[in-house]
Amino acid sequence: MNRSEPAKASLRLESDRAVFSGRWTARHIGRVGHQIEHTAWPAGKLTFELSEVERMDTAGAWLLHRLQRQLTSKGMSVELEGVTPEMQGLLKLVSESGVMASDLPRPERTGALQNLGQTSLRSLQSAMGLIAFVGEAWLAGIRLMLHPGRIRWAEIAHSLGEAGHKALPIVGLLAFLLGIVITYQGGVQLRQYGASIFVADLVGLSMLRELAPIMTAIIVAGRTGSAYTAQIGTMQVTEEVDALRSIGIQPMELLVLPKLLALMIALPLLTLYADVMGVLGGMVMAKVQLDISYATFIDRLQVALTVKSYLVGIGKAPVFAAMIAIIGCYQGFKVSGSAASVGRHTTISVVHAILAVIVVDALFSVAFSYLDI
Amino acid sequence: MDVDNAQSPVIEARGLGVRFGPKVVLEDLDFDIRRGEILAIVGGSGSGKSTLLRQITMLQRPSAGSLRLFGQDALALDEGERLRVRRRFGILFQNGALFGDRTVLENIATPLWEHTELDHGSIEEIATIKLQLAGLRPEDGLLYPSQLSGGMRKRAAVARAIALDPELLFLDEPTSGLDPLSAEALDELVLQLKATLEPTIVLVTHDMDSLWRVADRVMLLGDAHILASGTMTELAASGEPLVRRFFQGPRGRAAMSGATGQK
Repeated sequence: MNRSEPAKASLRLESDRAVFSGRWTARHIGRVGHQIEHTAWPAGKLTFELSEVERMDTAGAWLLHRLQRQLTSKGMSVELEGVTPEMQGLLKLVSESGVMASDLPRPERTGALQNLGQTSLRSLQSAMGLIAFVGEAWLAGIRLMLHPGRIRWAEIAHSLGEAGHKALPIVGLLAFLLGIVITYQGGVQLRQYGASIFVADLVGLSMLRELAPIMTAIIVAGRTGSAYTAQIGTMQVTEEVDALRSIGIQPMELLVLPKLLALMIALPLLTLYADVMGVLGGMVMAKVQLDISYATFIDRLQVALTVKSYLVGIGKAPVFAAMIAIIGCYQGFKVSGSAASVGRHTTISVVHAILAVIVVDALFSVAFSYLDI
Repeated sequence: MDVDNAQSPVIEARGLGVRFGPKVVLEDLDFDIRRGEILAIVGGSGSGKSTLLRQITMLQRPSAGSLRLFGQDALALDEGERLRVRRRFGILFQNGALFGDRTVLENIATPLWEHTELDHGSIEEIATIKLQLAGLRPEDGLLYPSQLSGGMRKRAAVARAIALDPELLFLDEPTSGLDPLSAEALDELVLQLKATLEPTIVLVTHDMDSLWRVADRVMLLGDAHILASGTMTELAASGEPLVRRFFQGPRGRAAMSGATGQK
C-alpha cells in the first residue's frame, strides 16, 4: 500500500458540536486519545457528529463511548448524530463489555515486609527441597544397587558421551591456554630470580591441585548442568515426567541417577585430561619463552609433583560432579508451567552449581591445610 | 494491480503447491476466500490442512503457485509490507500459543502495545472488552496461562487473536480438546464475532457439528488436492465416494441430523 497514509482519527469542537472524523481504529486513535483528555468541554448539551468518521473498530468505539460516559457522569447530556448501523453495533458491544481501567480487578499488592518474608520462606523451602531431593536420590541409588538389573546402562552411556566425550575439545583448549598463561605470567617473575626452572612446579602444582578440577567443573556446570535443567524442565512442562510416572518408571531412576553416575565418571576423567593439557601448555610456553627443553621440564615435574598432589585434585572431581548433577536435576523438576520458567531455573541451576563448586573447593582447601595434606 | 475493495476475494490462491523434499503435501490448489464468509478447511489427519494454513498466513513459503492476500501478491512483499498485511489478520493457534510469562490480559494487550499508540489505561480497557467478548470474566485476566483450563485457554487465545479487530481471522481447530458444551460455546463465539466484528474467518476443523453450525462454505482436502468445496448441504449430498466417506460416516450423519433437525 503505497498510497497516502490513511487519515488519523481527529476531533474538533465547534461550540456545542464535537465533530469526529478520520479513522477511529486502534492504530489511528493514539493521538486523539491524548487530545480528548486535554479538551475543555463546554457545559450543558453536546452533540457528537459522527458522519465524517471513515471507519471505526472496537477500540475507536470504546474511546467514543468512554468519553460519552465521562461527560454524562459530569451531568452533561450527549447526543450522537450520524451513527451508522455498524457503529451502533460496536457501541452496543463496548457499552456492554467495557470496564473502566479504574474498575478493573488488580492483583493484590504486597508490602515490602511481606515480600521479604515470602522470599526468605521460598529460599528456605528451596534449600529443604534440595536436601530432600538428595535423600531421595540416595534412596533410589540404594534401591538400584539392590536390583542391579534395573540399572539403565544405555542411559548412562549416552550421558557419558554427552557430558564427557563431547566436552573434550572445550576443556582441552581452555586447560592448554590456562597452562600457557600461568607459565607466561609466572615465568616473567621467576626469570628475575634466575629460577626459571621452577615454572614447572608452578604450572604442575597449580593445575593439578586447583585449576584443572575447578575450571573443568565450572565448564561442566555451564555446559551439562544447564542441559540437565533444561531437559527435565521441558519434560516437566510437556507433562512427560508425569507420563513416565504413570507408566511406572521412576523419574529419579531414569532421569537423575544415570546422569549423576555418568557425570561422576566423566568429570574426574575430564579433570585428568585438563591436567595433561594444562601441563602441556605450560611446557610449550616454557620452551618458547624461557628456553627450557621438554626433557628438562619433565624431569623437574617428576621432582615437583607427587601422586598426592594428583589425587588431591582428581579426588575433588566426583564431589563437584555430584553437586552439579543434583542441582541441575533438582532445578529441572522445579520448573512449572512456561518456557520462561525453564529459562529461569536453568539460570539458577548454573549460578548455584558454580557457586557450590567454588565454595566447596574453598572448604577442601581449608580441610587439606588443616590435615596437612 | 493492487486491487483491494469489498468485492475482491480476501485470499486468492492459484496453483498453490507445497512439497517437503520428495513428499508432495499439497499440489495445484486453486481457491478464493471471499470477504465476510466463514470458510472451513477439512480433511483427514495429515491431509495438509495445517500446512495450508501456514502458507496462507505467510508463516511458510509455498513451493509453487501464487497467493494474493487482500489483493496483493503475498510472495512478492518485502518485510515491511508483510508486517502491514499481518497486522490485518489474527491467528488462533492449535494449542493457544499464549505467552506463558504474561497474564491473560497482558497476552491480549500484546498486539495493542506493539501496533498502537494508546495509553496504558485504554489498552487495558480494550483488552478487557476482547476478554469479555471471548466469554471470559475481567478477573480471569489476572491469571497466567498455566492456571487456565483447556476451554479458557482457547478463549483467551481467541481474545488475543481479535485484539486488533482483524479483517481476517484464522482459527486452527478451535474446538479440539474441548468438552461438547465448551465446543458449542466456542462455535457460538465464532458466530458472535462474525456478527459484531464482521471478519472473514478461515477455520480448520475436524468437528462435524462445528461445520454444520458455523461454516458458510467447506473445502475438503485429500490426496494433496481439493476434493470438493461447497456448502455443507451440498457436500453431504455429494455422490463422490471420497466425499461421501468423509461426511457420511456415523459421526457425519449424527451431526447432520442434529443440524437439520431430522431423526
